[in-house]
Amino acid sequence: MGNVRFKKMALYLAVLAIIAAVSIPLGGVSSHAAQGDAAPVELVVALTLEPRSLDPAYNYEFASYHVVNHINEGLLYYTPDSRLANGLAESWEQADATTYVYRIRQGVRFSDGSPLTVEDVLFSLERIKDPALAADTNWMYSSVDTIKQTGEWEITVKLNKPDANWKYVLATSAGEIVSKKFVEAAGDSFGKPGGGTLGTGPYKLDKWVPGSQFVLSRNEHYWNKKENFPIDKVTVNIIPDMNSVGLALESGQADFFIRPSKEILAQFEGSKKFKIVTSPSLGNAVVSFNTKKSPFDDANVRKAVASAIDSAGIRKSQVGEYAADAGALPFGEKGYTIGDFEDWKKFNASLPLYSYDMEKAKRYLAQSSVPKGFSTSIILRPNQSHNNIAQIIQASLKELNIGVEVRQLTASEYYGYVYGGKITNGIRDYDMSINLWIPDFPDPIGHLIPQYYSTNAGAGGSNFAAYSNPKVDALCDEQSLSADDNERSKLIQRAFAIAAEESPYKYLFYDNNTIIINKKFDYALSPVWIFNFSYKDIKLAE
Amino acid sequence: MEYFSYALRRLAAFIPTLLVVSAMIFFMLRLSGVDPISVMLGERQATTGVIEALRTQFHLNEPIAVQYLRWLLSALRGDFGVDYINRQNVGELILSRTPVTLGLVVLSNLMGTAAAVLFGVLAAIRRNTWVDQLISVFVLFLTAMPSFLTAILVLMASAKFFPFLSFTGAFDSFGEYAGRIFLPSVVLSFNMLALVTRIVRSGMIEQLKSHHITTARSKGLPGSVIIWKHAFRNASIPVLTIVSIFAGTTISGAVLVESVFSLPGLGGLLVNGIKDHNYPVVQAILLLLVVLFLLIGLLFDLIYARIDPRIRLFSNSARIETDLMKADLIKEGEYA
Repeated sequence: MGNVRFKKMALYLAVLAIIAAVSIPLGGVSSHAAQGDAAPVELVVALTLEPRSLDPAYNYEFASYHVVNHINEGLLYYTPDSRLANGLAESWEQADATTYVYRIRQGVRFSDGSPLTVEDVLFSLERIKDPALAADTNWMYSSVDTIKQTGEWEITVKLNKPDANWKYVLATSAGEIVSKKFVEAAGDSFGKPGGGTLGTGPYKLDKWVPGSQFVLSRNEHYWNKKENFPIDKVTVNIIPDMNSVGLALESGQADFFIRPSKEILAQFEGSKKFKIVTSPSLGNAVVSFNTKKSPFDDANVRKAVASAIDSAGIRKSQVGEYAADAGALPFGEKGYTIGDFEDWKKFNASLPLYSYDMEKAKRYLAQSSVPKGFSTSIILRPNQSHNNIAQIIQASLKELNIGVEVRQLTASEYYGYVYGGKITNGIRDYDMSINLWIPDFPDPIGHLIPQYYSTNAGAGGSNFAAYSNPKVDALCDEQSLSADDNERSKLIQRAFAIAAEESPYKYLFYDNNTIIINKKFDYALSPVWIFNFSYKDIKLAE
Repeated sequence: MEYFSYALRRLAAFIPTLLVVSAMIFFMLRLSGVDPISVMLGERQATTGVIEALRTQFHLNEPIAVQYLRWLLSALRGDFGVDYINRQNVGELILSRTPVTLGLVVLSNLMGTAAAVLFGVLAAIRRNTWVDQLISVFVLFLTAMPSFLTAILVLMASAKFFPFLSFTGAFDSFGEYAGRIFLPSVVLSFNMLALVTRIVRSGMIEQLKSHHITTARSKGLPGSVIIWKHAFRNASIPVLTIVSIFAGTTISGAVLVESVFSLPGLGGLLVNGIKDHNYPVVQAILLLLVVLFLLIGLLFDLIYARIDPRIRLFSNSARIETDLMKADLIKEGEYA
């Protein structure tokens, strides 16, 4: 008898559970399922990491480019073929080796309707220059002496020494303009969830839900009326798990995703709803040898190891068609941005390339200070593909009797090593490292100076091989003095030729920029997308 | 009144515990040897000017003991400082992640407990029949599956069969919030099913064999009253003990499920903080977790007293007595 009662009870509870299961999720029905014809055009972007801040001072990472670059504009920007163009600056000129004059565009408004003033421009640049703010791009201002207003709508930047980098700086996030009034009113909360942000760009921030979502909409005050862009609203959803990104795209909850993993790419090859767009970038993947640390201070050791690394095989197995085979230069053809293109091609072909050849590797090792082999280690960031690469290198070097310990570090530990945070007696504390390098400027010096200039082997610098050669340093300085790109091009080539002989780096491949995008839309990332990425350039497909 | 003073005395005893724990957290984190400057700069070049400015702003030039005292004194005022990566107020960061975690912990524990009680009681009544066997295999299977795997499978099924159910983005209303945390809570509740079902089952079997149930039956009381009011009430104390432990562990155990379902919770914040060596975030969350565990412990002790009047909180040896009681009851449950 008791059991009958119990059955009834269980039945009630089961019914309740089913009702709950069916009714509760209905509350979560996605809103973009039902929309009328006149609905605004919305792009839903998936992003695996939340931007650290919306303050342009900290806009120097993949995540923040998805939000900040569309709200704040720079004085300059890059065209899709990596040329400089005028943004909030109407025109600019280099008056002499250390003087740059910028004319500020008039009639520009912030998205709240307030006008852009020269004061805002000075304030924005001074902010980045101030070390106390610790802006990500502060180092780009290290040769800036003064920034002054020199006319009603004109500012002049004086450098304390010639710097060929400078002309590019204001096209990066280091040249993005904020509103002085807004920033001062927001105080410490500027660019944070409580304080928000304000810019002159094509979109404005409507909503920021910490940890999960950003909503941008068309800036009605946008100055460039010639730009007729179709996307009215952009929703950026934070989806930390790569598998969930794949599912979100598949189920129609996202339209756009940059830098998908190998697995997600495989999932969307031949998809009906999505296309994969891929194009060469300026970046690379590279193995750096610490040229200051024994036995890698011996060029023969570096040449032996370089010759034992099958970079073409690694490219094929790790990134397939989403990258190109690397040569002796740190960049592929998209990086030949100054001087004569054909000349660069010829120059690249003339460089010594320590390509995969185990016999040659053995000969180099026999001539080195450690002919019988040695034990060493390689450090890497948390990245599955880098881990695979390290294992491949470990197996190859075993044939040379070189024992490699693969040291998988946390991201912060790794950055600490390769950005010169751990230096003992002037020597960086690692043997080899696997790195990525994307230049800060679309110019060969975007690779040459950070990775080959000797001072950048110190604290905060990115000379991963701790490479130093007085001749290369002198050529770097000399090209900085020149305003003629053809002349600079020749000097830079001479520097690369000297360095290539010494093999401080082994380039693994030149990476592509790759996106997965709903077939409703059209977009091609340019080689410098990290600076000129804009939702206004995404078109509706025919 | 006695309840109140007992609670106060227990709360006062938390203070030395928390002091020791806070020091342990602070100094152990720094054993990794990672320089906070590397954490702040990440994958970016920097000038010595910036590096020095950051050292000064974050007081990294001071002796470590001074840094600890500085942190402790601010924490006492409710200020957990600024994190190394986002330069956001840690307290605000934690507050913004709390609703998701709170929802997941409460809902998953409620659903898990309800299901386990139902299964356990049913298995006890039908012990050694196919129903009992089926329940035991079923709950074991659900618990044995790693939760991230269950989460991915559930999400794949949801994306395939109910593509209109959103599992990304923000929630604007309570309905959307509930919708977003429902499936992850179901997945999380599986973790506790096997153990709690087993404890309920054995507790119930023990109770149903006891004399007072025989008496109740002979008086002709209805079956449901016997089962729920007499047997289950007594069998429920060990269940509470276990659930109180699960409630605490769900907070950090939810990490993978949060990540798969794109939910910004404390688990993800903690794990990313640990991976990134973002000490201010990790310190604050760990301290918060310790406080929560202590409070949950206190809360459940108070609940025991309500359920079982034999448990006296107010005698001189209150703590020892309740703890012994708990231990005995758990043992009875397990050995039945």
